[in-house]
Amino acid sequence: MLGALADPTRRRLIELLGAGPRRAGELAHGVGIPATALSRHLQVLRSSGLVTVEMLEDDARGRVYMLAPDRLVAVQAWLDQVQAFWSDQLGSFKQHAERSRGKRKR
Amino acid sequence: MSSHPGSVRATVVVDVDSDTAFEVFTEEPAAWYRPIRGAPERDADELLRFDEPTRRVLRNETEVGRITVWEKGRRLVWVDRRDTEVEVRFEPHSTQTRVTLEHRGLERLSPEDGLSVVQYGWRRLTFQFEDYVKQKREES
Repeated sequence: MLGALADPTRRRLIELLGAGPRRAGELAHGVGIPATALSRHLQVLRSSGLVTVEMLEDDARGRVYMLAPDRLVAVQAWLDQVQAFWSDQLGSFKQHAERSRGKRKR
Repeated sequence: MSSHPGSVRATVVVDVDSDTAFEVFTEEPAAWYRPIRGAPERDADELLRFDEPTRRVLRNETEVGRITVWEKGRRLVWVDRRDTEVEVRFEPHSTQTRVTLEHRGLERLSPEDGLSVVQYGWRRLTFQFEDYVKQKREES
């Protein structure tokens, strides 16, 4: 999960999809990358379970990408964010505490 | 990892004793709490403060939480406006201190819609996450 989210382009794709389902063309335009590169990123996001794709039979333009409806997956992705947020804050706390009060220099 | 659904945990070992760790954590968040980079203007220089006498957690002097446990050198717990709870434990670890932070009740932020939670999370936290990943890469 974290691996899929480690890439800034993929995080931007998740942001775009957070606003609603999108076609590949809209996504490519939104993140400003060519279709071939987009395809690779979407593949990673689909394998991680974060994104699903649906075929619209009555729409000639075809596939629509959306965040996976599985709420647990979505929530877990978010929990990972919160965990990273606090790890980061504690890392900063440690740095400050040791710099200002540390018993010995590291 | 989380101990139950809707909670996350983070741990760090700090090279100071537990009284000092507690003191630095509660009295000097301005020096260690990292403002959210890329946040809207009004949050750009947000200042976190733990006010023991009034038992309030303040951000830019606005109350954002209620302190429910203040055990000097041992434990700090606060509940935020959305009713999620943050517990920070300070445990002696040889001459150092193990600081464990658990944020519980996160499921309350998404009673209906997990997807909106993702949006909420990304808006607020993606910036820290970027730094975190960068730091991990540098460490490895």
